[in-house]
Amino acid sequence: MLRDLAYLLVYSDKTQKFGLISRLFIPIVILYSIFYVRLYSSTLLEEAAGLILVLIYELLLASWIRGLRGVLSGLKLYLIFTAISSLVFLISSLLGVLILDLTTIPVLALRLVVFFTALTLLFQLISLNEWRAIFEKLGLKTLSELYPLTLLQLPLTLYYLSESATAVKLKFKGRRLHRVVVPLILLVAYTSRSILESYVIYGFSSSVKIRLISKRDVVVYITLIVLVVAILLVHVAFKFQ
Amino acid sequence: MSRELIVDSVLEIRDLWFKYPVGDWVLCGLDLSVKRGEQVLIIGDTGSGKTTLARAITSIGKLVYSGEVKGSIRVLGRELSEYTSSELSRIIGIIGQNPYLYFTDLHVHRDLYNYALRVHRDPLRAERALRKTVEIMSLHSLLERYFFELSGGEAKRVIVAKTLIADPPILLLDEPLMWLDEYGVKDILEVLRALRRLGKSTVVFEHRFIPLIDYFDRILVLKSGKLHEVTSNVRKLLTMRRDVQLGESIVMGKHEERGIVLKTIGVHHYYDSKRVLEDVNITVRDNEKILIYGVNGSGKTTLLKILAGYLKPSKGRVERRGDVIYIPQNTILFFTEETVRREIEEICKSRSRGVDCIEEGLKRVRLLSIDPDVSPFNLSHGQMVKLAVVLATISNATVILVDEPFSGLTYSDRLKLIRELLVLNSAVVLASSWIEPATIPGWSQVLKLENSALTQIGSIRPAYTLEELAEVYSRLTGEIVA
Repeated sequence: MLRDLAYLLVYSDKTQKFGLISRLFIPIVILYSIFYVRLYSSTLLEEAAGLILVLIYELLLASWIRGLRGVLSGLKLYLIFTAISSLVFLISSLLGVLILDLTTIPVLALRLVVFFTALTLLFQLISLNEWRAIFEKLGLKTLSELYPLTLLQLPLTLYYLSESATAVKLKFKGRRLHRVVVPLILLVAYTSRSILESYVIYGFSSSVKIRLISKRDVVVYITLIVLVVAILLVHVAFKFQ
Repeated sequence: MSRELIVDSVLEIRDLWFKYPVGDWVLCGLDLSVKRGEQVLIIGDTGSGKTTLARAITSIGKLVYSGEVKGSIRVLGRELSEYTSSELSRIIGIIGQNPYLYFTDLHVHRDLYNYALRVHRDPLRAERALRKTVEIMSLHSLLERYFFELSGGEAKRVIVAKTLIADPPILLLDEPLMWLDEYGVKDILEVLRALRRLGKSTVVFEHRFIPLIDYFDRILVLKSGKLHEVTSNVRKLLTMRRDVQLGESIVMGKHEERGIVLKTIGVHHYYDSKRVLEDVNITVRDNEKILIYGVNGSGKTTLLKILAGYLKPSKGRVERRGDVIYIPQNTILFFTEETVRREIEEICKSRSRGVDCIEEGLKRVRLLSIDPDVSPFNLSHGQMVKLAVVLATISNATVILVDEPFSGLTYSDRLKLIRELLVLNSAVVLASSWIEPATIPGWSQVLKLENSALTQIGSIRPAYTLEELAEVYSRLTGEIVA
């Protein structure tokens, strides 16, 4: 599962044929759609219908970027978030802090999944060079170098997490699993020096050209319009029901 | 003619001293001279200063680690301090132990191209330099992959190629064989041959040096902060070659009466649609010592995780009767507490064992010369593995699963570690991409994981047994094998 999560955080060369601006629009429109659905839905069912449309769009995009792996990662995320939401619901109910309807849980989980997937799309659609260019344009020179170096380590860190979780779970018979973070933090601290070495030796290229727009962007904008129109239609349909 | 071309000695080190901000001098008056096109191998114990020497030569020791340097390092006739770090990175290429840390982009082609662009500052020249390097290092099949999808050997090949883009006359390779299986070793040998053809001066720091021995012009031992020439001694010591029959060391049938502590029945495992394990059946009996050999990426870690119960097999089942402990390849990931003492206390507590368990643990770590009040994270790799084994033992683990514990250890340390594992009072399943451990008597089963299937190995034909390798190393470094 952690392997699949790692792939959610890496960009695909396939997306580079589209301009940067259109690719930035995708997560922005998705996030806006999530907030729109949340604010203007009068019933849970209406919100669920809107969110399902967004999720379908995200999964279609993920399957184009990564094939079946992208879709599976998205569905696994849904299961994880449903489990987390159920747990929170259960604890809250037991403590008497928050009383929710049982039907709320899948919608809450759906909201989280759609939101999280939109964020991961940012990583999948934008390359490290483009992140650097964006931060440089914003005048954030240091961040433009630190951020890609950090992103580079994410897939390996997820692998280390899996190793550490295996070892610690067995070591303490399933207890003290929270201690997994201790070796992980130390390992990241140790490797950060080596990454600095790598940066001193190889550095980043300063003259990478970024393509802002492309003729193919029309496809991206059309799909986004289709998504927005579909959400509006659902909204109208529920209003006149 | 430029100044660089008339210099015969490309690297000249005189009376070099180096220390980190904390601790004693690591290098103490070290001298080294490397001629143009010369291939030099430097061996030495863990912590003897091999990596430090590489850091000193590339000025990384001073820039990144704030080390103190005394003495002279002349590169192509000029003092190291006269170069900027950017100039230096184009004259000395370094390939570190962990190649995955040397990528500055996730995508292999983009990573190489970006670096080529940084060095040559022109897209056409960058493209040309990249094409040439890809050709030399045969990287075509790796270009469209992400760096974390590469095996250790492949990643090292890519980083060597990246270094070659700047066409540096000197290359330093720090433990190039770390994590590599026999195919990875062949890859690195090809790389070294390519570097020789290109007339590069190469300095290699390596623990597992025997497979590379014929390649070098000179072999040096780093001991007490100084280098000692041992080229002729090594050649003399390595004359004996023989076949090793594993059948002699396996005691067949003796363990039938013992109880089964772990068993897999028809285990299959897939990652997406890729088959990793197919119909794997393994039976571990009480106190048995099992070696699983397999090349990088053969599925050893996956199998251990299935045995541990962390991964659920796609098909088949695992029966466990007792406590299982898993020691990962990156042993640091096993430890969770501030001190060794706390590690012992917590593992005893998790098994509801009292003061006796803690006292036994403290006694055992003291026998290993480990101070219970130090942080486990400050121990050497070898000590970390030994401490993990002690913790597993006092926890009364029925089965200890050990994943590739040999990285960064000398032949002597590897031999000592295997001997310690073989006398443990628990069943041990050790995964290794290195076949030499099989030459040590005492294994109950030696298995090979290949093409997703697990089979019994009858005999192997390594050039040397691990005992012979350890003896060669010990004689060279003046160390006595216990």
